[in-house]
Amino acid sequence: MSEKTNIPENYRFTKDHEWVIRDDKNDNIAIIGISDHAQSSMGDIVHVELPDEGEKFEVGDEVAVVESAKSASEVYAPVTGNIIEVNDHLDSHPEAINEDPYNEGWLFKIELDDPDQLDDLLSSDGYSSFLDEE
Amino acid sequence: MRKTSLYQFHIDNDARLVPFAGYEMPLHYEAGIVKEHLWVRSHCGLFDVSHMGQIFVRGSRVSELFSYITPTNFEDLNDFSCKYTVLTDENSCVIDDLIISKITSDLFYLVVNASRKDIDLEWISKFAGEFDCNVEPLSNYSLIAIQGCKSLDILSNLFNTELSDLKYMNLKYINYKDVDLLVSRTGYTGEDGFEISIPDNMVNEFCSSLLSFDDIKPVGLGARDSLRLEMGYPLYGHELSQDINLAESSLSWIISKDNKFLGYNNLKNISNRKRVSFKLIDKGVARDNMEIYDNNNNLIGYVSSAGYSPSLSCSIGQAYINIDNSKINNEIFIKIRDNFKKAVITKLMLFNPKLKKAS
Repeated sequence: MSEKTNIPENYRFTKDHEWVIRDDKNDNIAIIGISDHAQSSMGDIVHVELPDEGEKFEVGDEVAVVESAKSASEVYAPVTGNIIEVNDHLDSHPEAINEDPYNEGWLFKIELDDPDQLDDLLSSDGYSSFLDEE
Repeated sequence: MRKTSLYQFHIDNDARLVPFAGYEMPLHYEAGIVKEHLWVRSHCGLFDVSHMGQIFVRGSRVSELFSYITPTNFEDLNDFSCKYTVLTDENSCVIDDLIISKITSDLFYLVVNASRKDIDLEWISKFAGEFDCNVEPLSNYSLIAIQGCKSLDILSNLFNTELSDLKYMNLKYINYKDVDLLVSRTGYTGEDGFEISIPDNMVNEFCSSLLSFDDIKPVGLGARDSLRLEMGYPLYGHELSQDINLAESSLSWIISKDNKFLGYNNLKNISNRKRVSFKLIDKGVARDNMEIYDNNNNLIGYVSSAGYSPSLSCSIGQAYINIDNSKINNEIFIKIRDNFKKAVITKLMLFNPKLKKAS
């Protein structure tokens, strides 16, 4: 990894380059997106296939697909639960994922079956070490 | 992995390098594919295409040779002009697509695809003897493409000569720092532009000098692909291959009337299919090799190349479709993962670069 990628401290991560944080209005809801490293590797994002609200996913299920100019990448559920909201803004502005992957570029929100499941994920330091080893 | 002479130039310009035809080539630079594509359509892009093959063929019967191994008649061609054509085998299947330039009636200059250059050399050499010709692959020469409406001004400036008298599909020698460079007014993007064959030991300085102009930026192979897709140009290995008969490929304009070339007797659309361009109507991105269906769930073809069009802000591509389903404006369905997404067959050229809008 030659350049510094952005890895915010209070976020959790998976080895598939998804990030997760708790919704600050509701501890039982997780907000999910893809990391700065992921958006940078993918290049210009041109389309996102998001799940339907209400759909249920287990950890590891394919939930969304992010299409860049060059290729498609799957996004997997980092936690188990139901989709309660998707980021409709990405319909007309998929590039928000490139521009602001940790805020405006969020993908979907899951209502957690197990609120402690976030503890199983990588911390920001853990993700950073993981990237250094890749 | 092979490198062109501009490898360090690519690194210095923050290229994302990927393997292509055995070379490490820039997929894009810092700006990214979409911005680079749009820059070529509005200003000027600099492409390293040194991985491609450059070949001289010499002999008094060189026009006859190429009139035989391509469907194009070269006998009546003016000196210093260029033609886009294909090499076919005896079955009229495509060995490569290429630009052949007649420098004089004894000297032709060819630019061929990187992935086919060894095969092309072998193939041409097979026939060259019969026509008393010598085949000389160039070594130590790079090839760069400068494409976009600002190309003429930039190069006229850099060469200190008025380049507007070099017309489209023509070439000439231009002296630069005491060396004659072969400059052709050709390209693969649909924009006005030039391709320059230049010694390896000069190309870095030349490219640095080019980048001192504000209107030109380096552009990678990712944008090169989306630019040619918008023009409906084929790419060897996708729209053209030895499994595809020239008659299926919607390139009949390159076949010269009455030219009984090598593949002439087998120029037939035996597979009953045709190359078309399409535009995706539903949201999504079509990709290579996806299946195509009609509105009754019948499989009618496959995607040969596809991706995202920055100029049209939608997914576009090319496909081989059964002739009966191949009319312009016909609705087709592309299977993208488990979904059938609606698309429409369009004219081959989806974007008109002169009018700067959908064609």
